[in-house]
Amino acid sequence: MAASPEPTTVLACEGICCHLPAEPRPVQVLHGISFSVSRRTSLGIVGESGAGKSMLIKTIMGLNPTARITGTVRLDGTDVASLAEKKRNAVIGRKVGIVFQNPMTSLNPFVRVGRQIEEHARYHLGLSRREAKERAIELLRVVGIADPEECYSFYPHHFSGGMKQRIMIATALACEPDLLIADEATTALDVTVQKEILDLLQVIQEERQMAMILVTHNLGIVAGRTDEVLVLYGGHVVEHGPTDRVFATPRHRYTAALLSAMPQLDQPAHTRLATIPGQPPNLANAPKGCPFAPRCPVATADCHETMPVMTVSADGRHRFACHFPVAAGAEAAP
Amino acid sequence: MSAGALPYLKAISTRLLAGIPVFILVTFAATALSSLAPGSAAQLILGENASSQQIAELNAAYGYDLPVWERYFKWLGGVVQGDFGRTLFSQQSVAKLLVDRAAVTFEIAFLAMFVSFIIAVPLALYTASHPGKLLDTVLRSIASVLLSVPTFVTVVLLAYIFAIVLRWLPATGWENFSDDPLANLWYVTLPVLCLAPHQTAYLYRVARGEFLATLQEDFVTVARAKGMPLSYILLRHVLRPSLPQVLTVLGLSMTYLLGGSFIVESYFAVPGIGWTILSAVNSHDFPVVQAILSLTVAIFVVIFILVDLGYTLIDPRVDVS
Ligand SMILES: Nc1ncnc2c1ncn2[C@@H]1O[C@H](COP(=O)(O)OP(=O)(O)OP(=O)(O)O)[C@@H](O)[C@H]1O
Ligand SMILES: [Mg+2]
Repeated sequence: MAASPEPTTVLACEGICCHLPAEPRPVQVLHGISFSVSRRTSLGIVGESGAGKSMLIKTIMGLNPTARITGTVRLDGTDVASLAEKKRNAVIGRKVGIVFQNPMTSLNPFVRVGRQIEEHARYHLGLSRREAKERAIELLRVVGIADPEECYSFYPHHFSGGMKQRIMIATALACEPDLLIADEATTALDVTVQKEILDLLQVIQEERQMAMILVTHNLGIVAGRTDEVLVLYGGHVVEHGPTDRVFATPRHRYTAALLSAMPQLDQPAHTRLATIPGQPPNLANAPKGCPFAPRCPVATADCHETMPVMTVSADGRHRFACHFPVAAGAEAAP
Repeated sequence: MSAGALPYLKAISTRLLAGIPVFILVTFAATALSSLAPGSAAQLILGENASSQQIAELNAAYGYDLPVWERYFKWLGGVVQGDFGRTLFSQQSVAKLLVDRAAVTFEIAFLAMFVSFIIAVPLALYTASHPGKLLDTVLRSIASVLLSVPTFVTVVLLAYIFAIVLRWLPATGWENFSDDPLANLWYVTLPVLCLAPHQTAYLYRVARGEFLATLQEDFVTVARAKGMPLSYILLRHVLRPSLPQVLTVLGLSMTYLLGGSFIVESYFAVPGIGWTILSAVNSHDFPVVQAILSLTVAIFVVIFILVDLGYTLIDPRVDVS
């Protein structure tokens, strides 16, 4: 697309907070999360189970009706959070395609896959039955389903998990969205299928020039596939920056610990993996200070008491919230 | 269609075959019952003062002096040819009587089922998608109350209100639909009103729970993320996956409705099978009792076949075989 040399921002989130109703008092699961994703770029959102990744996605998508949410979500410049529910659903459904974690339960077993792929395209774009069918069959072909014409009228139970996830990707693409979100889209699949699906997502994102968000608890998935990575811990952004820079010189102690817990190809076989000692935080009674302090090897009394502020690198592209960041090393170089 | 119908025919016939042992067991027990009573069956039927000649005539006509199994096979032989014998006193064909009386009971039962279905399912769909809202809370309490009121209380209460105080509906009697449709509607309303509340409450509860569970499914979240409107999601993605459970309840509730028809029919003097079997038992009209018992078994076998086939029609994952 020669028309826009500058990547345009598709999604911009600003200070998203989310409180879930709970007894005795609401639990804050997201703390002022800000980030943006542009056309033709991809963002990895990484964090342990319970870090709030899915909550963040649900909040952006407006799928959290009982939650109290503050902050702004701009989709192609429109502040969707301020729209009336009906309008918001229509805008989001039209502009965002999402693939969820479990392909086995994401498809309605009682509805033919063709209809599930095309229904929102018919609703949002007003496609006729024929146009919708053509589009669905084309998408089935794009995601690598053999015999798309025949598969169009099958019920989901005819397909394996990997195939179902391909069908979910086709569904996510039906309205030609500007943003594609994959929330742990490969976690439920076995390793070889995982790689196929990730490669497919990457190819499709590049071809269709979409923005993409890859949500995962596995740093290995983000490496080499995303432009930027956002690390979540206990509902906080702890580090955010270009993927290669975060991998080469992690600044937050949590990111560093995650990286050293990642299996390396160049390690001799049977090397023991470092694990991060301790438990992920219990959001119901979060510590006052840095959420990672209870598990951090270098935490001081101050870390437990005060919340670290976000430090931004000189070029503004790498930020982290840590009182005692890992030494910058080569990071200062542009 | 003909190629598609074949597996269904096969499925129906295997299920019918499976129903046969139950049928034999129940009808044999019914035959044996007449021999369990003290004294001879003929004596019981004709009363204390019957002459030995009357008893001999009855035995000759109905075989009440034969051993149970012999009598049973005679009866079974007749049933296979559609002959359920004659009633003891009016000498009518039992089969014909049964058809007439069953039509009455089924009319009441199906109308009650229909009324409760069209009330309960839409309300359940709405409240399940708006849980905790005022209507949901109110309906849940109403359903609990209705479920705890026994049918005979409903019958007495509604009869009192509509027949005695308001005088809108007749307290007793019946007119067949084929004779006078309007009068039929007038007579059928109160019995249906008496059976429907319990049935509606039960169906409402099950359906609401089922819809609520389906609304938690991932595929519903996907449909929401796709920006589909709630009404579409409910009709397209929630209703059908929840129907198998609702269907089971409909099948089971037929048992309630047939049981309830005993109470309702005897209270309103409606000539259905409930009323008929009660009077047949009172007058020791064994051929009628036996025929109604067999009909009841047959009805249940057919209902469960229909429920089973319903699953295969609703759920694409369930195979006919
Ligand atoms: N209804 C709720 N009430 C209170 N807390 C909740 C509720 N639902 C989820 N949480 C909490 O919100 C936090 C974020 O959950 P979320 O599902 O977003 O985690 P995640 O990062 O997606 O993890 P996973 O890798 O397991 O998918 C969790 O700690 C969870 O305990
Ligand atoms: Mg998750």
